[in-house]
Amino acid sequence: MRMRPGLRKSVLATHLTVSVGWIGAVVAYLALGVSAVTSQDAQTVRTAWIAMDLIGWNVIVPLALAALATGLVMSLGTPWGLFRHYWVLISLVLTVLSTIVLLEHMPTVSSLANMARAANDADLAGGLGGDLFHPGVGLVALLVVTVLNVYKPQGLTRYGWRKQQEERQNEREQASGSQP
Amino acid sequence: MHDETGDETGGRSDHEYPGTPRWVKLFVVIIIVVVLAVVIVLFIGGHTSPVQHGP
Repeated sequence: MRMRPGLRKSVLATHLTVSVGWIGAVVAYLALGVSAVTSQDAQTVRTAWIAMDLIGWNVIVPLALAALATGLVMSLGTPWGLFRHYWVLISLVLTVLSTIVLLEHMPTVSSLANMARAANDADLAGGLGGDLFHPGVGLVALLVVTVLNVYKPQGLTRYGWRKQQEERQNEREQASGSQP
Repeated sequence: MHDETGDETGGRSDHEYPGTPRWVKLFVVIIIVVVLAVVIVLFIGGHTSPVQHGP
């Protein structure tokens, strides 16, 4: 199925917006994570964890799901396909893995935010720890996907190459069949 | 009849899968090295999950 140009541009604009928004939200989350780790002020640590919980569920998770959904639509609705080109395939794998890890990790963030709400200042001043590993790795993965999407390095998968051969064969047959 | 074992360019390469691109191989190697490094660091240093620092 191929999308019409107008629809394709709309989906592409949506995909770009939510994908870049996802990266920006992760950067904001990382800033809060650094504050949670480095600050000795209980109020700052508490606020950071509550904000990380809110940003995670209300911004990062919806943007991740939207980026995955619009990416799938873009792949399937254009000649790029989903499994034809290595850059699309790698982008898909990284996005799916990032989304799964995010959804698996967010309940832990929520429980820590609840701990931060309930803990007294003395406990929080000792530090609740931070959350830098998951968003750090996730940010690297998203930047890799961005680079792949911008540069679109060449390289067909075995499946993509086979489909390309079939399409060329069909074109040859149609061309020879249309000749008088 | 057109000979399907060859093509107009005279080479067989058009009918053979050109193989995995070099950048993909390099990418996979980098991913494996990074994952191994993370696993080793976590295994040696111990995973410091924030949950363990809870009050």
